[in-house]
Amino acid sequence: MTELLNCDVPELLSRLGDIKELYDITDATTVRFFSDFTSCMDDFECFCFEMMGDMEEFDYSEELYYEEETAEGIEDEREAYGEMYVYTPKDLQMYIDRLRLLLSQKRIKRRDYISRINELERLAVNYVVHTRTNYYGGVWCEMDAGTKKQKSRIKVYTDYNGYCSFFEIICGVLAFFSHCRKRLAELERDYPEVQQKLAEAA
Amino acid sequence: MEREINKDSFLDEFRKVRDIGNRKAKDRSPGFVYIHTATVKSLAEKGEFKVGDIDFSRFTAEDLAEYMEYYENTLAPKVSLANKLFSTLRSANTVFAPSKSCY
Repeated sequence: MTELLNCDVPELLSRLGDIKELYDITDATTVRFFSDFTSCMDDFECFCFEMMGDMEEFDYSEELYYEEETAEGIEDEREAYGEMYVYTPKDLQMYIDRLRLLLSQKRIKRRDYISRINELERLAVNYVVHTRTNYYGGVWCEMDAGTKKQKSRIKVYTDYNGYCSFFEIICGVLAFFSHCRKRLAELERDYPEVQQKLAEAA
Repeated sequence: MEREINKDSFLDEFRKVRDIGNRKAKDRSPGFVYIHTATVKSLAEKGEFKVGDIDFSRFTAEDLAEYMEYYENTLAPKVSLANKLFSTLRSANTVFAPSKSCY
């Protein structure tokens, strides 16, 4: 009975609601990710904070500092104001590679290519940055389509001075990965010969 | 208060979906009942549940919203009452335990 009394059921149901929303929009990726989460888990946000760096698509993270130049140069002792997490999902890379190949073969127009890249950039922000208003909630997200030398990636910025829910960030990142997977599957279905060309090029 | 929070009947409040006013428990949607069974009833009977044990295709977002309102209006006050009772008992133990006399 103590578990029942000590459990913050409304908060739990609210999180289930977030997972359900993403389950309906995308797929069961978020459900699988949190499948071992139990109702009596203490400090859930701390658990989610650790998960930010444990995801398979995680590449690296680095702290963010203000650049302040003094007469002597940039100060050595500074406090970080936030952190940036970089994720490089394979499906995103594969999708963009295929788009570039299709563009180079003139199978799609440049306008279509740019439109698809912009859609991903917009969705990365929509999924990860929970707020739809102009109020800065301590989280930002950017997608980088990458180059030949730099992988395609998304960058999630968190501000220590703002409030952000790592649970919501993870849900948003997972939703973006699901979306990339879906777009890739559609592209492979619509242009099956692309797969073969890429295999030959490899 | 003690009679109201008899352990077996108290837990029954969380095991079963109650009739609320004009809304009968049997009229609740299957999704609503599923959420109750998978979450609060599991907490009452087993002490926990896992997200992986929940089938998210068996309820809608509306079912969940309705259930959250039901919990807030019907079950949350009972939890609050029980917590007050236990808090009172803990405080009483501090005062009356012979080894911790305040006099």
